[in-house]
Amino acid sequence: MEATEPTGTSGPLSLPDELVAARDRAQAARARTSRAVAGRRSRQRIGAVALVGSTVLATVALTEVYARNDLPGVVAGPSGKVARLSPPTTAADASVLGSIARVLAADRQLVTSLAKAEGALAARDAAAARAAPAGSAAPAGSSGAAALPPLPALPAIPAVSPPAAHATTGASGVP
Amino acid sequence: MCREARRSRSGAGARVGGAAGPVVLVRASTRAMATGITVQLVVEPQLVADPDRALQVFHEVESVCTRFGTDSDLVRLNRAPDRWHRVPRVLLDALVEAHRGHVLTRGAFDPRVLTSLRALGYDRGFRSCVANVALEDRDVRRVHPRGLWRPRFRCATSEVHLRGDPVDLGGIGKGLAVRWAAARLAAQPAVSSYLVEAGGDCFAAGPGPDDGLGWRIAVEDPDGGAEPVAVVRVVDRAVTTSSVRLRTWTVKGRSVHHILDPRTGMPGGAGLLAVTVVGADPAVSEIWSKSLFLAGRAGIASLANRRGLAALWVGDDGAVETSPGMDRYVMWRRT
Repeated sequence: MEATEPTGTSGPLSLPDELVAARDRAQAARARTSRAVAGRRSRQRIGAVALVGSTVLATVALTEVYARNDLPGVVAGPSGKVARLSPPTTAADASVLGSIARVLAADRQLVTSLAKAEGALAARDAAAARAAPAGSAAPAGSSGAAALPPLPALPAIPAVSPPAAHATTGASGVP
Repeated sequence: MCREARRSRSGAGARVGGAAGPVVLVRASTRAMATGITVQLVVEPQLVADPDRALQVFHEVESVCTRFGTDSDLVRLNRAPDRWHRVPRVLLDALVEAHRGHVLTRGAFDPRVLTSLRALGYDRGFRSCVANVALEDRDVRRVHPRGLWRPRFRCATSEVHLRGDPVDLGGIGKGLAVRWAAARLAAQPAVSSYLVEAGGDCFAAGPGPDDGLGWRIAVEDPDGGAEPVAVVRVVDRAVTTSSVRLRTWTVKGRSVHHILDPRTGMPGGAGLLAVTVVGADPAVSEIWSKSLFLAGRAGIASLANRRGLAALWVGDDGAVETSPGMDRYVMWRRT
């Protein structure tokens, strides 16, 4: 009895030419499909990044334009013209804010002055330690009357005035 | 009695930019009930409002309810308080409301203090009031009526019986006039928001003319300072104040004022200079401001809290205090 090749073995030699050609075509088609899919995925990734990036850039640009422009105002008169928005704070608020800003500036000066004073004291202590004989160094911070720089005067915060009223209550008329 | 119709209109046509767009702010004033009366109306463009209809209420109430002079219906009623009288509807309504206030405050508001006021010399217009009355406290107490006030009413025929005691409607008349004037303004379609101010008693309706957040009402300093002690912002609320700033005089060398304690017939409110109440109705708020004042500094906080009242009071040392209900209205207060 003639021996036969087992079906499904990997030996290509015994395949007919038609099957080999079909196999080659299938491999070529698979390769083309793989390249096409890979390219498509690549385009999708790049496109998504480009889309998100362009959206962010556009949003930032629009926000910048919006922030730099004035807000649309309210209708402030019978003419119906659009008026610019009034300042967000009253005069009293602005005055208080100005005072607070001055206080903060004075605080910064104070901190700077204290830092300078601390540096001067440290330098004097170091110099004293170098000059003194060993074992007799004075403790840090006890180097005598190191004059502090003049401290800035704090501005007084003005009292907030009462808001304008439409009417008053409290004093009845006298018949 | 002040009956002159010294009316003026100012600001008619003045346009303001409210929250809902441009509107016209109309202001009108008159003098009645011994004080200045002012109404401010926020009117829709192209529409016409009539503030005089509201101002007229004060003259109507004054002509009927004043206890000064000789010709008012209340004066005639007080001359014979022990019999039935047919009275104008305005006076009947005022007496009914006064009795309601008497019941509401459990007697703390009592129109019968008129007897004590007269005994203390406040029997004419305040400017001509006797400045040095030679009366002892016991004299005042002797004439002061005791017990609950129990007037009788026949509403169908507009009749009233005072049961023997003459009355003073000064503690509620202005608040009622403000209430009725506000009703006349509310009935006008052109008026979207308004403020009625009558000698310190106010009613503010709607969001006001400016920012749409309400009407701002300053509480005057009872010591006479130029700066208010507080500013409240209200929408659809009455603001009334009882103060001894102006109506104070001397009896036998002792300073007295017009807010009398019905229990004693003598000036009450120890330790207080003024009490302001914010409420839904001007007449009821006025009644409560007087009743709270009579509680004195020692009892005003507990009474205001117990009744859930929005109250602000100024002590005789100038300290300003508020009940928890008032905090929502106070937008500024003196530090």
